[in-house]
This record gives sequence, structure tokens and C-alpha cells, in this order.
Amino acid sequence: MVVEGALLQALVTGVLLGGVYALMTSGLSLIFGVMDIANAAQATFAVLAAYLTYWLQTIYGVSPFVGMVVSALALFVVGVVVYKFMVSRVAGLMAFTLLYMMAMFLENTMIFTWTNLYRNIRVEFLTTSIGVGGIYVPLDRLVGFAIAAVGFGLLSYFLKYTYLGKAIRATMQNPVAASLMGINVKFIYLITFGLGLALSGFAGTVMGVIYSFNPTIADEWIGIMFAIVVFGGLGSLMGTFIASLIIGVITSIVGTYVSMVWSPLVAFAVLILTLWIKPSGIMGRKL
Amino acid sequence: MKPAVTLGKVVAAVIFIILALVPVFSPELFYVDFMLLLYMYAVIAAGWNIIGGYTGYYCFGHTAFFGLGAYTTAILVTKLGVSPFITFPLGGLVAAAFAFVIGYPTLRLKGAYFAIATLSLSFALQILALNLTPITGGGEGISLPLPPWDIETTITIIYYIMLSVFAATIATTYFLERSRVGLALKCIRDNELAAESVGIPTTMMKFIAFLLSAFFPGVAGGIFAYYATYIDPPTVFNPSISMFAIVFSMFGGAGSVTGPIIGSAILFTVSQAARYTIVVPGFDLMVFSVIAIAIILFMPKGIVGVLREKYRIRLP
Repeated sequence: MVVEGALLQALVTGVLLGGVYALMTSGLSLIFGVMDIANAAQATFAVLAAYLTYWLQTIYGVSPFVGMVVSALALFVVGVVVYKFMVSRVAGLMAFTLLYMMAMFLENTMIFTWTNLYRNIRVEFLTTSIGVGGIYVPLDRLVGFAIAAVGFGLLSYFLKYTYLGKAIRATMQNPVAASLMGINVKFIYLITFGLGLALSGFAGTVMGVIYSFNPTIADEWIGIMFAIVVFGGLGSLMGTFIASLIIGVITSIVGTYVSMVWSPLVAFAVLILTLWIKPSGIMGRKL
Repeated sequence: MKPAVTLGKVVAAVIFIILALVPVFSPELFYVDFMLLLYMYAVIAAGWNIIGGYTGYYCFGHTAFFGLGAYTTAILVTKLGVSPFITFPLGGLVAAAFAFVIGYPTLRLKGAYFAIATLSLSFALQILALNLTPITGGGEGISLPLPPWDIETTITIIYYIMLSVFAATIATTYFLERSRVGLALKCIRDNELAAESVGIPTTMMKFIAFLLSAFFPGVAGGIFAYYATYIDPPTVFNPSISMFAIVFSMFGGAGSVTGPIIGSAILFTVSQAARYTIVVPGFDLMVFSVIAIAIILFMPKGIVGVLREKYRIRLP
């Protein structure tokens, strides 16, 4: 049965892909959920992180596994600075506009300094595939999925059991009540924005290992990320995770059975259908 | 009673006459060409202003409407041999029809969802145009037949067409602002819940605004395709067109008739200057986005807003 094999292959690839999407989108989801800011620059920051890792590897020979952590930390700092001096001065739709302009700035600065050529973070021992029962699993995707799963798990633990994580969730539910309970909401916003960017940066590097990237790939990524956040439901990390897997699988199946070129449209179709049928997403609060 | 002929109307008429005489007195074709593109961006910005400025729903995908208009003209002219002068308004209608499809699920929701959906829309349409090769020619784009006149006549003709579309857009905005619909739109922007509670059919009003807002950039796109004689997806579905529309409007003053015109006049000149000073990809947009960020942080009400609040000069 060739068809079944192909389907199974598409499912496996899709789930692995979805895992990386989940980590990449978790940052956007967190910022959107807690601060009600749709960060239009999230994907561009993820690309920036991929570039940081790439240059660390190319110029200084730093292993991507180290570079990943370094660029995530760097993005945390960038996020805190950007929030403190720019984003915190505006609200709502203006924040979205500001971040969109920032995305444009970053994207064009990257094109200006590093050109629009496609690059790829190379990890030699990950370029092979392993075969299990007729299904080939590229090692880079498997490791990427593993990293994403661990990252997502740590994030869930952090939000659920640590003091800071609980404060973030309290702020998400009701900022006024949270501040009455002695939570410094401004500080929580600062941390959340930094953390959100760090998460996307982390995942951006993983994407940079699996796929080729250039500054304009951010346009494609942000479309996928927004679709996942809306489909999964605002303010629900679990929703983000499930939505990522579903979109990953649909993308992969469309890529296998129709054509790879239509995969990016899957995200847009999901976004519009969700807004049409159930705007609050599969696990979100009511709008 | 206000007099029928006011100072503002006289000034507007004089400016329009001067603009109409540009091709006659211009020493070089370059200036005609420059003004033509300036009108094009002013049309897109003024179109954006209807939904973004008056209604407060920020659209981040106006390049989609521009591109749809461009492709409508390109496809109808090359495949079916339709006269381009018929396809220009058709492009506007196609853009408006698409706005309806996108607006239906998103205009009911909070502004952020509308922004997200329109942003994704522009990327989705570029991918569609790249891959629907039998219709759009894919990445190779479409070459249109050259206009039957010499270059000078062609540019002059297109100049007058673009000028009339520009005038039509401004007139529409002007009359819209003074109509009940315009009032309703401003109500929605300031407080949608309150607007709904006093009986304004908000969804209906938002649809009118969004469709008008998509129509004019669609027409401009068609004219651009005829002017450039060649279009491809990265050119007409360029995200920078959406960015220009937003920033031109905001710099001049979103939610005013003159704002998008003033903003386009100043910033289009600046961006062209940046583009020809340092010819490295990305540089002009880099400069431009810094200007945009500065405007959002320090002058969100634009020139018209500052004049109104600080110097008490009221522009329409």
C-alpha cells in the first residue's frame, strides 16, 4: 500500500513540523494572551535569532546548540529594551502598527546588511535520516521536535508552578485584580515581552537548522504563527500546541498530495475559516 | 449659512488647475512621471484612510487591493484583449469584492483581528499570484502590450487618468466625511459600543468604508499595470505598499481629507530621495521604517493634528 505509506509519512513529518511551530508560536501566544498585543514583529525577531546563531557558527565556530541559547538570551534583552522604550508607550492597535513598522525595519536592515540570499545553519550529524518501517524521519526535524517539546514543557512548568509564572497567568486573567494582589503588572509585561521574544528566537534557530531562511521568510512565518494563535484560541498555550500540530499536519498533507507551493496558503485558509466560524478558536476564551 | 464658495474650495480648485497644467509646463518628463507616482501613492493612502483613519480599523494589506487591480487589468488586457480603460474600474470592483470576502469574517471582531487577517491576506495573495501560473504567469509575471503612442504622450495620458482618480478619491473622502455615513464611521472609531447602542448599523457602515477603501487602490493598481507595462507578484503585492499607505496617512494625519495628501507629498519625496541616494536593496525602506516608528511614538496625530491642536489651523 503505497498510498498509506505516503499518508503515514506525511503525518509524521507534519507532527514534527507542528512541534517546532508550537514553540515558535508560544511566544506570540503568550504576549497576545497576557498583554493583548499582537506582535507583528515576532517572526522577524525569530529570523534575527536564526541569523545570530548562523553568524556565531560561521564566524566564531560556535555550535548551534550553544548559539541557540545565546541568541534566545540576546532576544530576551532586545525584547525588554524594545518594550521598555517603545511598545509600553502605545497600546492596542497602535502597538501592532509600531511592531509592524519594527518588523519592516528589521527585515530591511537584515536585507541591507546580509542580503536576501537563503542561508542554512548546518549541523553535520543531523543531515541524515533514520528509517523506521518504511518511513523516513529526517534527523534534524526529529531533534528539532525534541528541542521544541522540551522547550514547550519547560514553559508550561514555568507558567504553572513558579511564582513568576503564576503572576503572569494572574495578569493574563485580570490585570487590575493582579495588581491589587501586589503583582507589579508593568514588570510582568516587561518580562513577558522578553520571554515571548526569547521563545520565538529559540524556535527561530531550530527553523534555521531545518529550513533555509532569508529576511523575507518572516512574512511566511508570521502568517503561520497568527493562524495558529487564532485557531488555537487566545490565551491558551494548550490550544496553541494542538493548533500547531493540526496546521503542521494539514500543511504536510497538502504538500504531499497537492503541491508544496500551496502549503503556505493552508495557514491563511485556517485563519479566515476560524474567524468566520468560531473566532474564539478551539480552546480560547469567548471574544 | 455658510457661503457656497469658501476659501478652502477656491484653494483646492487652484491647486487642481496647477496640477492639471504640470505636463504642459514641465521642463522634463521626469517631473510628470514623479507626480504620477505620487498621485498613485496618495490614492492608496487616501483609500486606506477611509477604513484606517475614519473608522479606526487598521488594514495592513492594502497592497493586496492594489495588486488585485493590477492583475485584473493585466489579465483582461493580455488574455481577452479588453480595452484598459474599461479594466481600470473593473480592477477596483474586484478589489472591493475581495474586501467583502475578507471583511465578512473580520469586521465583526476587534481591530486586532482585522489587522492580522489583512496582513496575512497580502502574503496569501502574493503566493496565489506566484503559483496560479496559467492565469497569472507565475513568477515570470505578465508583460502588457505597449500603449500605441510615443512615450511622452503615453505618460501624459496616464498622468491625467491618475490625476482624475486622485481627484475622485479626495472628493469621495470629502463628501463621505460630511455625510451621515462619515459621521457613523467616526462614531465607530471613537466608541464602537456606544455607536451600536445609538442605533448605528455598525457592521454595515464598516463594510461601506472597507469596500470604498479597497476600490480606489484597486483602480490605481490597474493604471499602474498599464503604466509599467510589466507586473510580477513581488512588485504589485509588495508589503511596502501597505506600509506606505499607513505611514503616509498617519504622517499627514489619519482621519482627515488633506492628511494623506500632505503625508504622501512629503514622505514620497523623501523615500524617492533615499532610494536614489544609496542604491542598496533595503536601504530606502530601512530609513522609511525609522521615520514611521518616530511618527507613531512622537506624532501619532500627524501634521493635520498638530496644526489643529498647537496652531489652531483647521485643515479639512
